[in-house]
Amino acid sequence: MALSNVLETPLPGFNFDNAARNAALEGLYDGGQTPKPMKTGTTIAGVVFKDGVVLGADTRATSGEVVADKMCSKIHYIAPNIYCCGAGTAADTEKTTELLSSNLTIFSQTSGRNPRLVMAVNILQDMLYRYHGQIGASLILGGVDCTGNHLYTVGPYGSVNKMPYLAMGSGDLAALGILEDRYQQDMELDTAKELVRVAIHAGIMNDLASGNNIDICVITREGVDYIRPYQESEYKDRNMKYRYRPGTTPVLTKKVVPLKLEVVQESVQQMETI
Amino acid sequence: MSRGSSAGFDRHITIFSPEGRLYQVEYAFKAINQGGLTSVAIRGKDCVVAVTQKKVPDKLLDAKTVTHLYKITENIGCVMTGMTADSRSQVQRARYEAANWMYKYGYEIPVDMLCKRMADISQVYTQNAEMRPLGCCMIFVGLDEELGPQLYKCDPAGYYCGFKATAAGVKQTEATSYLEKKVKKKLDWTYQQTIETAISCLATVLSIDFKPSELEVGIITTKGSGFKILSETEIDVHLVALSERE
Repeated sequence: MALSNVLETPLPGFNFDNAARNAALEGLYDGGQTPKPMKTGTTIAGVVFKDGVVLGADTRATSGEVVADKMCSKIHYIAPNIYCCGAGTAADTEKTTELLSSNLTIFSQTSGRNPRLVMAVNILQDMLYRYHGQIGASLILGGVDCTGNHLYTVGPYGSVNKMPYLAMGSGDLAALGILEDRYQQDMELDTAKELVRVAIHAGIMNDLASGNNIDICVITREGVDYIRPYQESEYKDRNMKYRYRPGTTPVLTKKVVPLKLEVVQESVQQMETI
Repeated sequence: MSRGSSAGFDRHITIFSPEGRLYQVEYAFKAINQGGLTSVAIRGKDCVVAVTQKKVPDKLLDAKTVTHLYKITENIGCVMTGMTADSRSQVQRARYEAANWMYKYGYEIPVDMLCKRMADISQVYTQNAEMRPLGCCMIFVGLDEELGPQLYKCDPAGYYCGFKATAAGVKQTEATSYLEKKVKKKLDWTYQQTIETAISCLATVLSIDFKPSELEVGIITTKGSGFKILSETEIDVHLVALSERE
């Protein structure tokens, strides 16, 4: 299968191109510890229900202690029947999912079939393992294919887990608490959506790095329902209007100076009228 | 319009002749007949059957090691027609491609994707000057999870296609016209009917009254456990049923 991203096929085995650079970097820091990649903070969750899969995510992207994006989209399109929530380094999740989506589009066209979840998971796992965790992407893949409804998670080092309910990101423990308590097999659509909403909400409430709105994506055999936002946060952003009522600032004095104008030249041009 | 003159190499390597033909590819097709065997494959309603001759010319040969039916994966088999050495090389490559797909993507390769891959590899040989095309024809029989029984054939030119019934080898044309007549009448064969039609096609076209040791039969059905090569006793059952019918 031709991969659109590579001009040459990757060499088999491990790639130690960065080993020298990493060793040099370690020498620069006291204690020999290179700085850890920054977790941008997220709560993402997914649940398998009777007719398909429900994925949910918060919409806050943080850069250190600052909220970088209040309405960022963390549920990425992979294929018409597969969507992926991404936690970890924002650039890594974005580019990895785009790469996967691009390759699977090529595959769909050559084979005439929708891609399967296992295929997406295996490609991701292969790539992330090859980079040994240097790509900080924790992904939850959910979708419906010819073999059924599936939900997988792929970790940054290439580990894969297949579960009926999953949560990842800095708010995963809070969300997982809700899921562990309330998950049931073969739920109806509304129950599943509510469960995911409550799970993400728990992440938003209890994790500083998660917040703002909640996005939901429902994937079934019939199609995809991407609801963005599913729930808006009650702390709305300011209106971005800078008009103030007259009288907001008290007027102390008023001085009117009329401008005297002298007529220097006067000319009349007749306009052509029909 | 003056015809361009070739340097005379168009018969020796795979470059175009002035008429736009690839002589090496055409010679490869002729090489398929060097094996002297014919194979037939038919797709039924819930099964696919591949039948080929088994010729053991030397009394000293161990008949068990002579075969043209190969299992590629649990649910895909193939019958090779043509030069034996080239056939074995292609089968090895097909097995590798199927295993690599399973490793890379986590599920069994569909028949049409495998055939497409083998056809693409064969096409490369028709463009590379340093490698000759392989003188063998691959007929894939398999079961697809979504689409059911599948029958695909790929040839030295790198062309592949799905078939309802097909033949390859020395008596290819005669076998194909026989199959056309049969397929016109009926399209959803049962397991029994498929095997018997395939065997009778070979028998009619080659004018041989087959013994079980002169035939190789490979089948795959929706009920069964993957691609299976029938034993001589099983083949005998079908031959007996066929002779009783006649």
